[in-house]
Amino acid sequence: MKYYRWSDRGEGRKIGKIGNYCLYERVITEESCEETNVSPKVERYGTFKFVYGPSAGGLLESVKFDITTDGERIFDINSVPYKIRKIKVTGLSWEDALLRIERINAPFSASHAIAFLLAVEDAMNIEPDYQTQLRRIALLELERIRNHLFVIARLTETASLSVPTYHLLYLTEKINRLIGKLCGHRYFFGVNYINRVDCNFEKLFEILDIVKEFRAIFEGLLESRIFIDRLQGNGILRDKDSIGPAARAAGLDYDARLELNILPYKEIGFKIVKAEDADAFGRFLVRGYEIIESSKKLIELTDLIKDGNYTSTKGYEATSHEGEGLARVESPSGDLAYYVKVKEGKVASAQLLSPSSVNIKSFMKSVKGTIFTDFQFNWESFGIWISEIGVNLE
Amino acid sequence: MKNWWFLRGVRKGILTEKTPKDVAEWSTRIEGTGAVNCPTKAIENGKWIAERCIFCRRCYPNYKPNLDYKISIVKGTQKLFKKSFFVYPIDSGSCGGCNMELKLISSPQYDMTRFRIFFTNTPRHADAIVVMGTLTEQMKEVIKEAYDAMPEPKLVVLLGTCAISGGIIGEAIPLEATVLIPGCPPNPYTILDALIKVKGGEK
Amino acid sequence: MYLVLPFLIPPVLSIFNRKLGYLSITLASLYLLIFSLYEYPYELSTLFIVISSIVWILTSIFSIKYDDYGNWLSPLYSVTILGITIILESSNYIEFLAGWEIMTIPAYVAIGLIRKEYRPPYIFMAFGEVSTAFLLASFITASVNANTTSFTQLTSPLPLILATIGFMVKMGILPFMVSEWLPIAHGTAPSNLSSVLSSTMTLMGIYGILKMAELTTDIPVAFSLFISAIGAFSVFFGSLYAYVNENTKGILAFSTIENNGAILVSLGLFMLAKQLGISSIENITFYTVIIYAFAHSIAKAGLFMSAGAQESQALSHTKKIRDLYYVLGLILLTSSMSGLLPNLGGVASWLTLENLFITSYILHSLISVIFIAIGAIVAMGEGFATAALVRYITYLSLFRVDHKKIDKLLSIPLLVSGILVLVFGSVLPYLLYPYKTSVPQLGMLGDSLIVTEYDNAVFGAISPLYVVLFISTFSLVTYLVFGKPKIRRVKIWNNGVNDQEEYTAFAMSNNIRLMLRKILRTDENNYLPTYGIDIFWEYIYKFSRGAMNFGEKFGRALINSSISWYILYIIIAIIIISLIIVI
Repeated sequence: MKYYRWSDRGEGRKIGKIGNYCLYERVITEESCEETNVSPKVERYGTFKFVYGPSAGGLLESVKFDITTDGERIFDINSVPYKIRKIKVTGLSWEDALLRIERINAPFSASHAIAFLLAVEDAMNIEPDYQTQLRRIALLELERIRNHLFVIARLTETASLSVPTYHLLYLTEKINRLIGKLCGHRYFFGVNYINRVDCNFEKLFEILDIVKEFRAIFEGLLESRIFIDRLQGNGILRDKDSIGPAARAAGLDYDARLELNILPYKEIGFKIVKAEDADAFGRFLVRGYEIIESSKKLIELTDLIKDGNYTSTKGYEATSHEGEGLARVESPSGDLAYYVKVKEGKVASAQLLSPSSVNIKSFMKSVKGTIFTDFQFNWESFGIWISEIGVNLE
Repeated sequence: MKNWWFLRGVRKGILTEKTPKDVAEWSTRIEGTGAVNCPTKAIENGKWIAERCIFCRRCYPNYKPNLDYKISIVKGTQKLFKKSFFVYPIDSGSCGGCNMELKLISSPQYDMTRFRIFFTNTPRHADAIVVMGTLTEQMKEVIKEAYDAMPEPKLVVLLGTCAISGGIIGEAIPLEATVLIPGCPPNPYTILDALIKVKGGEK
Repeated sequence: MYLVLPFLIPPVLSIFNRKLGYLSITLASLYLLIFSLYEYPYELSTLFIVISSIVWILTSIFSIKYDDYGNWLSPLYSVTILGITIILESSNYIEFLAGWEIMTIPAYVAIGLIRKEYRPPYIFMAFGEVSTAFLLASFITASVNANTTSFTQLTSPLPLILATIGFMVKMGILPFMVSEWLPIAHGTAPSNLSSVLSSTMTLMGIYGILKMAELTTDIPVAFSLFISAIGAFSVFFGSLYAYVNENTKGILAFSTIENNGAILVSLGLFMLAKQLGISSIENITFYTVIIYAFAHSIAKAGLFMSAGAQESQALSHTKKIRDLYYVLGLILLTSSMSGLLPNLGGVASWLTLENLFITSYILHSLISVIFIAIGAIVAMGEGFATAALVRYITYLSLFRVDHKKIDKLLSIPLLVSGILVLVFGSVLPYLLYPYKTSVPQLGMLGDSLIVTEYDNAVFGAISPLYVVLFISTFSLVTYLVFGKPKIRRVKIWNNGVNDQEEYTAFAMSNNIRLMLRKILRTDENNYLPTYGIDIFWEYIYKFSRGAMNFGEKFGRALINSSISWYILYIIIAIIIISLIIVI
């Protein structure tokens, strides 16, 4: 394990539970991840339980919420993911395992695949190829822009601002088509391999038009009082155990792109985006500015990435066929990590730390005390995908 | 002035497309020759079976996509829905890709509402139920409830290879379906084309 | 006065056997009812005797099955009824006052039995005695002016004014709403006692004001306007507090305040019409008061019985009863209290608002604005009252079914009170009300149309009998033509799962609680179901705490023993003296 080491206690910030272990900034420990700030259940007169989901119009995926309320205010909430999938990866070759890993969560597919492959490369002690790493950064940033656009489109849709919603959906579709043009598949399926990325980045500069249009919409949204009113003060979360845009919105310096040196972000001059309001508005701001920041990095990459006949099947030197590897990348909603054990060239076990499993706990903390009309905004601002939470890798 | 949305919308103009543009190749019909080791057995005797294909590209370069996006299987039409077709999506165990692609058929490029297709929030107002993803234990009961809550006549649409044949992840959905839309995830053009066909129109 | 004698037996009997005690009250009330109707059919007190005895008969039958509280309830119940009978049969001021004091003893005892809060009950009792002080002053003035203690004509309005204030404090009119809800909601008064307190004790206030107003010849106009205005505000605040209250009996107590306010509005108009010499209005408002009193007392007794059949006092924790008689009775009662025709309550509400319309029309001056304003406030209050009763009946019976049946002895008096309210709606105006006519073209024959008129010109008209016949004929015709309605049950779609949640009563009124929190001063974090919310009480409490502290310091300077015992001694002394004088 090049990027991580085992330890008895945690060091640095706590990220979350991975398998039976607890992952921190630079170490992984065997102790269980304790929950901090758990508030006790309060019995109040006149409250009743309100069920939202699993199959409801406002939710994109199947999750059931049991909300304890007195008619206006949400006092307590419990969430039950309703789609639990068992995905078998042990005993498979890394290529076969990768087929399944990609399909855990399609919108974050590049992050999953890249994190998995980095862990496998770490376990098999393979020398990382510089060009591949650059291209991986390009994939991650493209995915980031696409997901942030979608989250903001969901926010404006909840606020019933039709013109920005449809314009943002238009841009989401446009960037999906760009990804399809560059990589052949709109969700990066079948693109990532060890030391190889099967994409043609000739037309990568087209991202500029998309982000320019987005900038105009973003500035308009920042002046829209009716939109900002719904977000400000909604779902305030100042928690040192939060990750991703939720943590950065609270002013915390949490970003996997700066902490680990797996991918060469420092060479392309990456800057972290933060905000001070820790509410849904802060999360919206962080995502908006991150789109602009990511597009700048992509333009830098258009110069650095060498195209041409690079994508011929270049072999890789695996110095060992047995070992363990742990890699963490920054997905659009936060840290995503894979801990992989390889034996005889096949995957012996794989553990996943998905950002949504941490974000949903943060969401449930932040929703207590808000009212029903705030719920949808708060939920969408976290960018949680249930398909990542209810998956058991065996 | 920046947030005078109506003016901005009008100034942007019409973005709806009349002909397909920029179709991602690995979501269209695959053809070729030769024997390959397909992980979901979607290629048998040189024939490509769309319902099982997860578009993993392992059959490349023997088999290549040919940009024909009309790969859905429509087993019947219901002309009653020609002028108004309400669709209720339900997610059984998907990866999120089908959910997103289904949402994107409402984007301006595709504009499903010009074909009188709409989304509804409750199965009681729905004409068709769109099931995505593999069958999971807890969602069995929910899908049954949703199907029972729909009024007659009702259609079942299975969206994505996972729902039709289980893909590489799990089990298929055991419902008798009128429309099968293969793909991993299916292209929005494919989805739109299938929905238009089942309600009795040609694009 | 000899009619009081049968009522001396029950208190003694109930100490030994509760059921016998209640039975004896029933028989005594029946005797009183029949005898008064036979001997004195045209006196004012007879009307009130009819109302009271009906209430007592129904409540006592209910109590036979209901009472399992211990030996103290039945004697207290009987003593209250004894006191009220003395008032109704009194022929001079001293008897009236004696009956008044005897009547209020059980209310004090009911509160005194609480151990948790010490101060508020004593302050409440102190205010009760303020009311007695006003009455005493009024009666002394009246007796001195007329040189006799019997009920004779009075020339000065001062006794009326003093007496009205005294009665208002006791009736629970703004800002003294605490007199009504404290013993019922906060105290340990069970439903049958609460029923008597709410229906008949407040009735005595109305009786007192009406009697004094009849005797007084010269009433200042400003005073009648003041009474009407206070009544209007009581309607509004009473119904608002009823809507947000969570205590089943608290809702009914505030509803009583609201109805008393409406009666007070009509009383004010009665005094105004008497002063200005408009005889038609005088008659109409007089009968409005009577009809409203009938409607309220009978319906309130029934509603308290319905609350008594429940085990829990918290509205969000009740078990919903779907016994046929219970539901039927409740529907009739709540629709009457909401002011719907053809029930008696509907006739009463219509008459109240008609009076305000006519008066403002007749006066044709700037004063009319006051009556329009009063009418508006009353109407707003009636709206909240309807909402409060809908909430009440929903969570007591109609929402989801928990129990199926309750004992017949508990549900039959309830049904009878509902039927009485419905039947009286058509019958009572016909018997009592002076202005009637018939319209043969519309099928309203035999003087069944009741009208309001001024100077022999008709102003407005309704016919409850017509409404009843209309509804029942058409329902019957529909049933005969179409047969029994076919019902199809479908499974509820609840997000795909089978969870059954229930929207609580607290959540139903929570939006008003939050929207009007400046008036209601709700504390979101510390809400308790038995808490009586009433900001007027809070201010009175603060004021009296100050007064009490001052009094304590003053008293300690004069007397060295415990103040509370001293006050108790004074109260007991007054009661004993009153009894001695009567007997």
